Amino acid sequence: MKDILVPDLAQIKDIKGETPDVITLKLVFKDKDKRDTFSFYAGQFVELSVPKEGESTFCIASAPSDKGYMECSIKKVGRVTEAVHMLEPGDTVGIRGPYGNSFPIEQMKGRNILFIGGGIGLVPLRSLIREVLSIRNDFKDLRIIYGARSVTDLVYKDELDEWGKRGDIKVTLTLDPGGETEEWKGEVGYVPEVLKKQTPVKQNSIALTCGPPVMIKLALNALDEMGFTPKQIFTTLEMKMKCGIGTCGRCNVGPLYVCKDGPVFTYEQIKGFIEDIF
Amino acid sequence: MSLSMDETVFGKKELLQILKSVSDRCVIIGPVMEDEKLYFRPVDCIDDIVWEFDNTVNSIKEFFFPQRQALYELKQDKIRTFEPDIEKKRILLFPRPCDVRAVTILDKLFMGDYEDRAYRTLRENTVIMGLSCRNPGPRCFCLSIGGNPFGMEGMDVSITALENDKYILNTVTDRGKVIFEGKGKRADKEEVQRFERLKKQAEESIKREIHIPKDLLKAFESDYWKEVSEACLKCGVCTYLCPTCHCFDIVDERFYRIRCWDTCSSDAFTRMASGEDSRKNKFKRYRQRIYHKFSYYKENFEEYACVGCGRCAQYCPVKTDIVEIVSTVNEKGTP
Repeated sequence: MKDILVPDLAQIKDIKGETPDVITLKLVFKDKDKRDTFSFYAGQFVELSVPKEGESTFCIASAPSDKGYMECSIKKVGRVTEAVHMLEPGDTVGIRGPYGNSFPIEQMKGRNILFIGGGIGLVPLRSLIREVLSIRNDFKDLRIIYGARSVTDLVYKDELDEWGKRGDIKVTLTLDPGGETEEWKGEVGYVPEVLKKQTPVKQNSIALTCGPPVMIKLALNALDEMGFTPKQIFTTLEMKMKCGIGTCGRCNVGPLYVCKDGPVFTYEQIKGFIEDIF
Repeated sequence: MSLSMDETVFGKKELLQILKSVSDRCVIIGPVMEDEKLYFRPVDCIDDIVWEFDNTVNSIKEFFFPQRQALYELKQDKIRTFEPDIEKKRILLFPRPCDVRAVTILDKLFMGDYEDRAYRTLRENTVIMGLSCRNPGPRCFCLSIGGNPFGMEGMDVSITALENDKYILNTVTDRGKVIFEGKGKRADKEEVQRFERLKKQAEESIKREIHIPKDLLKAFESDYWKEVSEACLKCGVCTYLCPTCHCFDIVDERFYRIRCWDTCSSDAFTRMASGEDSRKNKFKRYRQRIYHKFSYYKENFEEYACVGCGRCAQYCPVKTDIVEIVSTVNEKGTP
């Protein structure tokens, strides 16, 4: 019997620099069976490990419709992520997963979708956006509001450009005040404020958000004030976790485990524990 | 739980003999003295085993969920897994009913939605011969949290001292039966009655009761948690000695990936590399411990993650008393 805590090996095929401290790894499982059978849903995560350094939680950045490989975008912040940034194409990492639930793609069909992201928090939304765009006609209006501290901190710049040019999805980019350059053509202001200015339609809509905790908290408030019901709002949460399967005892939000019951929650589910999350 | 009719009675000498006869095939783990305190340890000499005691310092969880356990070795291109050392079967001798019940509570987690292979291997490899608690300690409160000093839940064999040299055995499972088959003397009516009497006495001697409010979540935002956690030193002794606390860390030591016990009272427990921490304050971490045991675990597994052994209160350096804290939530904690 395979041990749930033992990873599979995956090889790094490519590394792309997104920002000075964020890279995207393109990963392919070394074992052919694993490569053929691995599948996931947008919003799920993996435990990625580097020999001698440890294991950390990363959501999957590529879409389920991107076949044959998987991408993770990783910001350099601690021991494991610093080690990841030292790796090169051809190197091997360990992967466990996929774990957790996923974005409610079936429920989203036929509705207006609002994606609200901040900083590295665009990563799980990117998986979903790619998936949604692969079946674009199943959805009504699509809108992305994405912000970062500065121009250099925006991830997936090429893709954001492409999406902006498509015409069937509205992309608003914003930078924190002081982070803009002279050439900057987007908005300046924090994501929740830009969101409020846009007054997105709330009927037949679903809003999905991910970003730094303070941004999520304020975005949830803003959506609430705009009249979105707690069931219409989804967020994906990040908590420290070790096992990914609900046993290590760290990532719970009340009785809900971010790893097992999440990472995607409705605002309805987590409303009572806001003080414990952010 | 009362006795059915296939109970047998043994003298101490006979029991020792049976244990000795299996000891070359089995590792025997039992209560032994170490530095003037009583611990469960693998036993070198069966005569060292202590037959009468209040309770041990450590619970038996470490024999299924070890304090430190190498999960596998991860090198650049290779993963080598480790099998738990199970060459010999193990007999876990004389754990108290509360500690055994705690293992059945952990089973729900480690053998639930996802199966923990190391845990299951150690569980299946171990025969548990529990010892009824004739003289519960002053901090025990098992009765008020679903346990019993003479409980047999999770045991393969339940042993009760009837008098100095007489033990009544109830073989609960087949693997317990195998060891004692055809041995001992069938218990007579008087002995069964004595068992029932002792059980009643033990139950009546437990004076402490925990009262768990059904609507514990109402007090979640209360300042009560700040007050009751103020003295906490974050040492973690309550979590390490607790027979049901199971939070763990996974760390790398050279190429080994190690799983080791962790404690929710540590300020590094939920701190992420970015510095973000959902339980920055001590009171949030203390509250987490209480809610995990008495609310979240109950909701997820239909059991409280507490068996009333009283170790946390007994060994806490600042005398934090879980019974008092939980039982007075309604009175003092609800805004």
